[in-house]
Amino acid sequence: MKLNADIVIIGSGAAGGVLAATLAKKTDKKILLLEKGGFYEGATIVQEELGARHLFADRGTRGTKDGSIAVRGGECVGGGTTVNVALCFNPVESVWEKWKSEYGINQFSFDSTANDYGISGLNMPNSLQHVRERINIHEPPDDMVNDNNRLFSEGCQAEGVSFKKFELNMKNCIGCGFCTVGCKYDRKMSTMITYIADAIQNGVEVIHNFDVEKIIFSGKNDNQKATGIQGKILDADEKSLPNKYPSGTVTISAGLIIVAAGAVESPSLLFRSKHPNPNDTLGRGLIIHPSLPIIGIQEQELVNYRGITGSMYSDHFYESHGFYYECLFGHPIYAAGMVPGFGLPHFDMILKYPQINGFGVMLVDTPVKKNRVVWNAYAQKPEIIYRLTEEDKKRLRIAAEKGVEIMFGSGASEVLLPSEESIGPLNRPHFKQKSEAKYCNDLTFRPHQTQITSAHCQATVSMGEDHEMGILNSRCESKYVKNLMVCDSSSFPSSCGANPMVSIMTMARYQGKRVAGELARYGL
Amino acid sequence: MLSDSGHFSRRNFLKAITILGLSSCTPFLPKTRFIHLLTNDPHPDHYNPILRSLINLVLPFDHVRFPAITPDTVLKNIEIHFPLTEERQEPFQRAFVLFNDIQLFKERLPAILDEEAKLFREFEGLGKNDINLKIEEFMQHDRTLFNEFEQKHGHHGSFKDAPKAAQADYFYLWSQSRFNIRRMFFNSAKGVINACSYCQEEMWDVMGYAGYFDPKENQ
Repeated sequence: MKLNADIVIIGSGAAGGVLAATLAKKTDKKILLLEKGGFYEGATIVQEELGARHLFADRGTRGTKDGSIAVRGGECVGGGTTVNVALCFNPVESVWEKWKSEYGINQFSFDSTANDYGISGLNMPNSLQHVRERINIHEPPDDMVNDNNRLFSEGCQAEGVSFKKFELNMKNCIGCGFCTVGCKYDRKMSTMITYIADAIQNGVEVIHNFDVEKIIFSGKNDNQKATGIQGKILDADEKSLPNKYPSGTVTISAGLIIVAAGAVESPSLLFRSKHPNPNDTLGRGLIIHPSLPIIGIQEQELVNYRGITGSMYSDHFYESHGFYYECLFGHPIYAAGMVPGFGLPHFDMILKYPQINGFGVMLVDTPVKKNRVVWNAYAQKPEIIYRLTEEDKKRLRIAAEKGVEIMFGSGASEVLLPSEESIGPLNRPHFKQKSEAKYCNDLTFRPHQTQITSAHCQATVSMGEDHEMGILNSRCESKYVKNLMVCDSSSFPSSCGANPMVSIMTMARYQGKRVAGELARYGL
Repeated sequence: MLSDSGHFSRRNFLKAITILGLSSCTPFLPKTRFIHLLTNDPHPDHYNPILRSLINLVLPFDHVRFPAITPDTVLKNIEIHFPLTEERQEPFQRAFVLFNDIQLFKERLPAILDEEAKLFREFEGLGKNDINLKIEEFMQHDRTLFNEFEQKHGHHGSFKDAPKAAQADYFYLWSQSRFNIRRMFFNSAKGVINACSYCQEEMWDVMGYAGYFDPKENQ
């Protein structure tokens, strides 16, 4: 089957949905939005951990190549915004300023009166404002803060650590506690029910279960141009909305291709398409925001799996040590996976589930070239190669130690880390008193022994005007292939400094508006 | 921020197992049963009892508060979510069989060493000499662990036939190995078994988890 479009957007997550809606509203161009996963409306959501696997990349089993770090990623219409816990952080201005000075990024003005690229009102504050309004970013009311989050704030208070309420993109949340398997009640303002709904209303065609095999380039050497994509439509499962088109091979001709498939799939697609990679920087510099859960056992019973999952956090150590504490909680399978050991002691601990509270460290990791995404052509799979640097391990040890203290400060009688490492005199990081927190200094974070998780892959197809890592210019355009953009978390030169959803959406809004103002640049 | 998908990876588990099952072990292991294992697809009658033993170890069915879930329930869930009978799961089947051979823990299994060397190269960019030093250190560490295990429990050949205390310490040994692939087996086996038991509503009842949300709860 052959299709034509003016603009093809690959990926319908935080970036793709916003790009599609913005371009549809501001242009009269024919736009196709392609998504690898299915299109699952809220009513199809099943509130079970195993029942939600179809919403995730690799059916929820994606991880680093050695299997040691679970790397969570949404693979459905809405992408990560469908399955995240709605935590919103404005773009961190200091990070963008650093990118400007270190990576030569230009424009992206943080002055709300700026007209970047000569386009009226194009700047970051205006883009952010649009996103904030459309996805309804706000602080949750006090009565929606559940026990888990309350205990976290009490622990912080006891330890002299500042804490805040998250901002969330929800509307009239009823507190079911199942954000991570998709919102059954359409109360989470994912792109699926906001920007993508807008895009569809303005004529964008969404083709889901679309596996893009490669981007088609014409021309050679310095004169390459993206002219379309090749892929196939797969059968949608019974939970998904049906596709308009039949399953089979598809070629789409387009004037502009925008890749927005996330920091794992975007570089993989460029590798598959044989995108130029003269400095061997494609896929490199991967950021994952490694996360380490901290588990407490309280004396009293709590109901932590209901209410808003995450409503409190601490950025107390962000400036000094580059990490956050974020309050979250898990359902039974996750909890069973995080509690160390097996057999009787493990089950005895699980029986304390109603007394368990938890939060996690989220480390803003350092970009290094050896951490990367590569495409395994033989296995036809992306491979994520990642190790914590020694510097990052040091910061994570500090975060673990202070986190254990905060957990004791919250009233916990015991504190655990999801680890089988022996530290100091302890067989495992199972602390019975606060003074034992110092043994966190012995943690090696050995793969498969201490459980690190991730959900924030970034920086694998970096912007950078003159920087060696730069695959893209500041317009998120490929430096090597005309009419090809990559606009998602992979475009960040390093960590965006916080949970990335709103930074991605703001950048996408900004770039969507820019493209609409510069259509002639792409011959559209 | 934190994964809610449980910390196991079938794909990586399978990959690990593939490596364990590589026939390059053969020349170094003059054990006919091992050669037989590597050249013949395990029959369910061969690997299921080992998996069943592991299920019995990971889950305390004799605990007074353990719900009315049996190893068969867990096996059935594994068949639904991680079907072992598929042809592509042969490496997975073999892994259990290899895990069962307790004495292999102390052996220099080239496939495991090669995999560890590959990880050092790919993940940490180490050169050959550094890798060799690391691997020798790892072998020494694992042999020390194994000797301690044997001092405590005596000689055992088969995991599934060993007493439960020895089984537990042997399984734990895999979590303490310096070799990535063994720790991966520990995590993955624990993860799959937990996932296929803690998905049961009977389990939720005993752990005080109400499960599905009923909007009437808010009224």
